[in-house]
Amino acid sequence: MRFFAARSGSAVEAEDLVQELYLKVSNTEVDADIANPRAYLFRLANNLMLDRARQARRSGARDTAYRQVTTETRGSEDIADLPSVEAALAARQRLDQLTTRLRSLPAKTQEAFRLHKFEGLSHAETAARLGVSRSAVEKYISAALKHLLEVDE
Amino acid sequence: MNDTPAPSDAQRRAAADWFTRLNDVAAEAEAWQDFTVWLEADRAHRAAYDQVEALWLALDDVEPLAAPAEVIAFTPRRRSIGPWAIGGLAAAAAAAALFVGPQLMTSQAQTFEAPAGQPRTVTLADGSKIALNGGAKIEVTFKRGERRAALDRGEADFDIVHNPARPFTVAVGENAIRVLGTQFDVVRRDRGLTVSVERGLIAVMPASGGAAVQVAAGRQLRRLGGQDEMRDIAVADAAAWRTGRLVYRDAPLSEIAEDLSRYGRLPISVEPGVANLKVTAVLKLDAEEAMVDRLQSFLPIKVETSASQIQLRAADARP
Repeated sequence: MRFFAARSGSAVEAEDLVQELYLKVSNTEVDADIANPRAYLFRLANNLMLDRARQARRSGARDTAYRQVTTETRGSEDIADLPSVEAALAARQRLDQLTTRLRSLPAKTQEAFRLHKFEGLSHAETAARLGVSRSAVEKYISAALKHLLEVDE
Repeated sequence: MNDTPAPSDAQRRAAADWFTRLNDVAAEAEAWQDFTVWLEADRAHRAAYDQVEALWLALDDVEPLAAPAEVIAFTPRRRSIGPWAIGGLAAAAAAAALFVGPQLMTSQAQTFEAPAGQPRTVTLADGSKIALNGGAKIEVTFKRGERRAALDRGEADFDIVHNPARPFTVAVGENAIRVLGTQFDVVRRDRGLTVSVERGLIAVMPASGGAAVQVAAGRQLRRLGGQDEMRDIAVADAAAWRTGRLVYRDAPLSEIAEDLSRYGRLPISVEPGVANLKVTAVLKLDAEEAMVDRLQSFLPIKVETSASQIQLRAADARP
């Protein structure tokens, strides 16, 4: 609960999330060999919030312009919110900037980031692939993120 | 509740570190707890983390990286460049994108082909894009100091990233096109080419060296044998095939036949008597046979289809 509150900044939302998490957990077959149940719980909680953020993003006027909206419709969300042309252009431009930025990263950084983000490899798997340590992978990925954050300055 | 201060750079960087650490399945419960403490310490921390998370989600839409097979490898420059090289495209070129696997350290020619009637776009390591029309084939080689492509067959629209340190050259049969940063469409023909410039400037010269002819945006050069012909074109028509049309102005029927052949299985041959018929038309892109059929409706020709080819002949004189 504390995690949710700190992460969402809203006590109301936090309670909501706790309910959702509880439901999710009680409905899932608990895998007896989860090495670290508490970490797993945190991870589940975090994913719940990430999913919400994703949904919010999809219905956000600014970004739907770019994605093909026809893929999913959710009843409760307002899909009549069509973005303006400027918003669509701005979104497209930002995406182009991010892409350029990604390509300007040094080779190893870029590859570590690509493996983790786009191929979904864990840090350990990425480290194995590149022949470096896990902490090196974390440094690469973090560096990549920091580099990309500069786009929005 | 909009009284959260904007996060500082340091806070955003810290958020990036947190995000990275927690984005791994192996993150420990302690890490999560420490993270919660960090979040609680300052409202700006949450805002910072939100930004990083939003960035992460936004990256889902970055297409080119999701298709590594389309990107080619080239030898990186031996210059050390800091992790946040903001030198624009010079840095982009120097920092190699070794997507095809770390073992491909040497420059190699990569071939890309589009099957008949199925256009395809290729994105290169430097961000340049090449849209191949159906039936087209190109080879690309990136080396230190240069980027080269060869249009072996068909038509392609090139959108080339500007980089004076590594000029982009396209070999088209006996000719070569030198590019600084532009978008242009090239059709390779039997004894020449047609190039239409949408943006920027290119120079066309014989591959063996010689006088270069400059072609600017809104202009089209048709080179056949030793003859050049320049004219103005609407930029939207330069690569009209990308919007489902083929635009011809005073083009000989033989040229149209050559182009349409790339859209289907059967080669189209033209009887000498009508080969030089001049055609001005906008053809809607369709199956090969349908397009050829439509030609019949406004040209004095007759279409004869056999198992091995389509032939265009003079229509019988009517009484």
